[in-house]
Amino acid sequence: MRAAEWERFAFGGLLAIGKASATRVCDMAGNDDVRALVSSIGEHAVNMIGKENLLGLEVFLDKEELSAEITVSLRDNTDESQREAIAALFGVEELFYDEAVLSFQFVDDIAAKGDARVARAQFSYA
Amino acid sequence: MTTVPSLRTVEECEARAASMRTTGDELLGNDNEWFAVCYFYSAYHLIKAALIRDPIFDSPTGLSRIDVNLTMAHRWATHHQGRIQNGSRDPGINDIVVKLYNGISIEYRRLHLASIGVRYSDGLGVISPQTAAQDYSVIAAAHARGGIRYSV
Repeated sequence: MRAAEWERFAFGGLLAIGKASATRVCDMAGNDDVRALVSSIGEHAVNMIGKENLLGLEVFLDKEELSAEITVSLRDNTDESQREAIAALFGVEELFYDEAVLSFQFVDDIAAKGDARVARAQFSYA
Repeated sequence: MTTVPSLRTVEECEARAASMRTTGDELLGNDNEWFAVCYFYSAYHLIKAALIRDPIFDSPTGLSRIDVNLTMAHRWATHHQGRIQNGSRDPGINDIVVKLYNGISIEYRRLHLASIGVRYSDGLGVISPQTAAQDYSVIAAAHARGGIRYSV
């Protein structure tokens, strides 16, 4: 994944989901289709993995390549938890099969990746 | 379909896979995380061997029943990720493994993530060396028993 090619979007809004979690949908491009696609990928990923299993989840979309990178921070990084998360992400992949190519990565702590990473996020759940 | 050089026979793919496994074993024995890269590419070549051998790729209608985007030419696919072209997907190896070889798809994808982590990021990270090695073992065992083959 070529990081330099990712679109940079500024923080655009804050949608509360539950008491302890939040979803940010970020967009300066005025591209409703891109925003809707990113939000939909992110929301489906969160719901299919399960909020109770997540510390955080971010989505970046390269709108030229129609490829999306989903970064996942699991509460529990055991073999089985990762397997369940990958199976869930396969389900998300199938839902968007003809719309975007998804790639995944697991990280320990999304916040630890720094502010530059947060600024790139088009969808962020924490 | 691709300009990437590709091995064209089962024997060539298996030999390359065996070579990478040997190097991976040595690196793992030395606690060097690059074993995951070697194991992933060994697994990749085992998948390539399976694609060459799998009779599903002789059946256009069989392929289209699995995925309308799959064609006989995907037997020679080389790119890992799929691509969106003209509103439809050109499946990559990762897609093909999920569609055809679901029994090893999680192991294959996690091993790919491990390889990417070592090559481009902070290393194996939250994927433990034991997990990455076990994922490869599952794929290698499936190959050894002739189990990487599409079945309904």
